[in-house]
Amino acid sequence: MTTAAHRTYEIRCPVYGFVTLNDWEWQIISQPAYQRLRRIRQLAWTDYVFPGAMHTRFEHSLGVMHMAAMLYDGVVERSREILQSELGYIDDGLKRHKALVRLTALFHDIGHGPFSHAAEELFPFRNGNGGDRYVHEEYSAAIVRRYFNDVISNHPLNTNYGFSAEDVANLLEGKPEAGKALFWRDLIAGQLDADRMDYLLRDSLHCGVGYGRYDWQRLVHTVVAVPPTAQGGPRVGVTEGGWHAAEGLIVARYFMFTQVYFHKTRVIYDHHLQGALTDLLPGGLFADPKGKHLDKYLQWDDWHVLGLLQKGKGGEHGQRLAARNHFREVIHTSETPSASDLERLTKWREALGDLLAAEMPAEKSWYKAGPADIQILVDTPRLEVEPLSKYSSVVRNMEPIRQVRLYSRPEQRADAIARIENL
Amino acid sequence: MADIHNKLDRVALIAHLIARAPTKLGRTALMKCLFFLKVLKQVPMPYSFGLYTYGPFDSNVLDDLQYAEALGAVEGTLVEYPRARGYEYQRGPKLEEIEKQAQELLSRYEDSIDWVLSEFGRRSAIDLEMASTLVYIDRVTNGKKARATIADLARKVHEVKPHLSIDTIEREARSLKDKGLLQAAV
Repeated sequence: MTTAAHRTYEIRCPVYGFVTLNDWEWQIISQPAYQRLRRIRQLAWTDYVFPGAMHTRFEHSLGVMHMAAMLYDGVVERSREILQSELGYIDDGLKRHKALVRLTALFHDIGHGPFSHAAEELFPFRNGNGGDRYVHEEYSAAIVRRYFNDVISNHPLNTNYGFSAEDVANLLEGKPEAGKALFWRDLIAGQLDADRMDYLLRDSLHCGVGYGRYDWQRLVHTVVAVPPTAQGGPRVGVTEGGWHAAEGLIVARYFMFTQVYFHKTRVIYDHHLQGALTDLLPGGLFADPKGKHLDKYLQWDDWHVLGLLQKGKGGEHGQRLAARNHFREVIHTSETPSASDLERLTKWREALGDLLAAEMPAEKSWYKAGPADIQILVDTPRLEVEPLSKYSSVVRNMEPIRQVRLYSRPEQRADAIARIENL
Repeated sequence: MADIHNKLDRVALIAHLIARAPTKLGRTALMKCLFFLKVLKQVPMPYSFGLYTYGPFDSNVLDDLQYAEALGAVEGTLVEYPRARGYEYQRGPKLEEIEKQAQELLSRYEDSIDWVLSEFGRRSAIDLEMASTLVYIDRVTNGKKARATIADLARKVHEVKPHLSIDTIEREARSLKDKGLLQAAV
């Protein structure tokens, strides 16, 4: 008979069919700080353009755990020798770190603010004013340490592992204390990670676009540990047989970026949300991820913000969000502006003057098309390692997207366009 | 000091570093040199380096490098190493044009760039992974106001990079300490 601690739970998933959790993971996702992810939409206000995009960080987080576990099993199945010779893994260690990777994947987005990435511009600065802002991964790690130690440490399934919240947080943040488990960080936050593999599929599905689809099953069946070479390592890559699938992933990222994440209307709602939150938050910033301040931080989710907006708060930007009356694009640069394009951009800015209401550069967007190279382990007796761009002319010729979009208020758009035309 | 948020400034800095390097830099070497510039010379680049088995890494560096290549500030060539191929970079045809737009910034950090290149510009990718991991762990230790012996530091690096021997890591740690580049090491 199965004891309560050994029960498993199946949750329906629109991407994979079912995601299975053990009782330990089930207890974790049942905590209030985890259930909060049900109240944070994955793609913020994207539903104003793609009405189906109402999915949440909760759904995505379960998917990332599922995908990370599949990738983990794939690496172990094909790379046992390398894992043993380069990282000293034997069976028990692999079983132990699989449990850790699943937990880390499950928690990877626990620190998101309301409306996900769109809120991150309002994270406080690490050293007071100026310099680096905190990032959501730091909130994730701090939340795990503060609210989840009991449920992680004291579950019967942890008896053989002895994990604490600190172990999960260390791997999330990339702390040295994670030791050789850092190898698996590639599956959580790397070039071929479960996070982006899941969000491309899931966002594509919910937005109703086909752009984010790629052959993920082939990637799961070709992912490997790439041994250290003169170029460094070890790291996660794919076998030669998987390079077209890896190419498909890179192309899917490019399309999702240009067609969804950096869509001209979708992206201006990030600006309006930031403007509204600046008005709503005490001092215009979220609380920092330290100690009791986290209690205040966790009070902020989509429901809280929507309630305030419904009461007419949030200033001009709040009203624009409530009425779907966004700033309108006046002009944009090419996807990869040349130096002369950037000079022209400066002239556009000058010409628009007070009519320029907002400027949205692609590089500030939350999901980047990003550098596009993955290590390929070539199937020869010498086990050579090659970059994907050596195989794929598509990847080799992809240029980084640095598009800049300029916006005016809707009622001033005609005047703004006239100023550009008169240049 | 405010971060270097202007993308063209960062492109110019990366291209300038590549152009002044004593040997062609690969991606790993460039990543680690920028890490050293930020951590050892406090050049305020908005990169957030996290630790991996291959040392400190931020994909935004590769993103900026890709843009530098698209603008013609640098040129990449696929080259062969033992059991691997990878990219090495050199100055591109538009280097001077890009540098001109960031002249003041480049002058401000010229000495820091030269120092990093003279210390690390000729070293192999594997050495740079080891040295940057040591510096990373040293700074994390120092951030906790803790101290560590060379043996402690080497053991911590070995836990992250078990494929490197403790002796090799200790030698590197002693060398970095002798140069005054470690803060927590005693």
